[in-house]
Amino acid sequence: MDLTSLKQWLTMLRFGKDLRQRQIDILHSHMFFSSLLATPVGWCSRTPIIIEGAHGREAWRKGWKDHYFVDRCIGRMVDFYVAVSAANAQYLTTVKGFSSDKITVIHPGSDLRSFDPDRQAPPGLREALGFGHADPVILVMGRLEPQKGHHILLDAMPAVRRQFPNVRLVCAGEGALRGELEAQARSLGLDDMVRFIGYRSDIRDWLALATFTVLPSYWEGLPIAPIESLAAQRTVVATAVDGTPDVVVDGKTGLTVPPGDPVALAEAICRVMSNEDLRLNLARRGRQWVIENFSAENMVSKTERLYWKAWQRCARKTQNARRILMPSEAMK
Amino acid sequence: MRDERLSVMMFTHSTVRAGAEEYMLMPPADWIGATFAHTSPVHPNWRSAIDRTFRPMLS
Repeated sequence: MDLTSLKQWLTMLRFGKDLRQRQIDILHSHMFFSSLLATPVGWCSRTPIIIEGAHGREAWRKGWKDHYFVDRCIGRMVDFYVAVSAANAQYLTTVKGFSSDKITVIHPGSDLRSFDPDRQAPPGLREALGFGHADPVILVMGRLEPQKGHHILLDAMPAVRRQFPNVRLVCAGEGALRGELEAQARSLGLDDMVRFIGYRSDIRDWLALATFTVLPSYWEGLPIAPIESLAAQRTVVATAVDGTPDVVVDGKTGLTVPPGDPVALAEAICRVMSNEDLRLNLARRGRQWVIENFSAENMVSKTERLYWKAWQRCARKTQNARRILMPSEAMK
Repeated sequence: MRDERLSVMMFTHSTVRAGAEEYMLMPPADWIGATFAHTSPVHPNWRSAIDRTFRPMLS
C-alpha cells in the first residue's frame, strides 16, 4: 500500500463512490492493509455494516510498528471481526484490545471433495525424482520464505536420515530463499535426498506421492497446507503456532512440536516414520476432522450466518424496513 | 428499483499474497449479491473464480 500515491487515493475515492452508488449493505475487507483503506472509506460512505477479516497474527509488527493505536481507532468503525482461528481471536482481544463480542471465529474452508485418499501418484513421478519405489517421502508445502521455517526442517533431516537412510524430502513452493535453502541442503550433504520442485498446481499428485507432510512454520494464520494434507489422508508433523493446532491436533490428527527446534522436529518425524499404525490412525482421524471442520461449505454457511446476524442487528438499529429474503435453512 | 438481496462488497488490497481467496470457492447464497473489489493485480489462479462468483469492480 502506498498512501503517497495519488492513484491510490483516487482509487479509494472511486471505491467510496461505488459503495454509495451500489448501496452496499456489508463491506467485508481482509487483512490489515485492506482494512486500513476500506474501513474508513466504508464508514465515510455510510456503509451500514463493516466486517474485517483477520487472517492471523501480524508477525511483521515489530519495533515502532508494534503499536495498535491506528487499529483501535479504525476498530471503532468496525461492527464485526472474523478470526481464522481460536488463537487469532485471542490475539485480537488480548493484543489489539478489541471486544470479544465483535469477534466470530470462522475457519477458512477448502474444497476438500477433490482430495482422494486413494489417489495414486502419476506413473514415473518417483523415478523422475530419482526416488526408489519404497522410499518414504516427506512433503513440505509452502512458500520458501523465512516464515515457513524450511531451514529448521533441513537442519532436522540429518538426524532423520541416520535412522531412515532412504527417506526423501520434497519441497513444493517457490520463494526468495530457494537458493539459500538449496545451498543449505548441499552443505548438509542432503542434495541427493531433497528436491525443490517449485510452485505446483497439481498438489494432489504430490500428496499422493507423500508418506506424510511437515509444516515447520514460525507463524501462521490458519494454514491451508495441513488441511489439504489431512484431506488426502496424509498426517502432518507441524509446529504448534497460531491457528495450526486447530488443524493439527497433537496426538489426534498429527504431531506438533515447538517452532525453531530441529531436534524436536526430527524426533517427531522419526516417531511418525517408525510407527505405521500411529501414522495411519492420525491420518484417518485427520481426514475426518478436516471434513467436519474445514470444508468450504462450513465456512460459507458460518459466513452467511454472520451476515444475517449483522443485518438483523443493523435493521433493528436503523429501523431499515427493507426485507431480505433469506432461505430458512441458512437461519438454523 | 433495489433488489431484496443483501449487497456485500468483498475487498482485498492484495490478491497476490492472501485475502479473500477462500471465499471464491463457492458462490454465495441466493439472498446475497456479492461484489469483489481489489486494488492490486489478481492472481491468475483466482481470476476465473472471481469472475464466476463475484461482480468484479475495481482492478
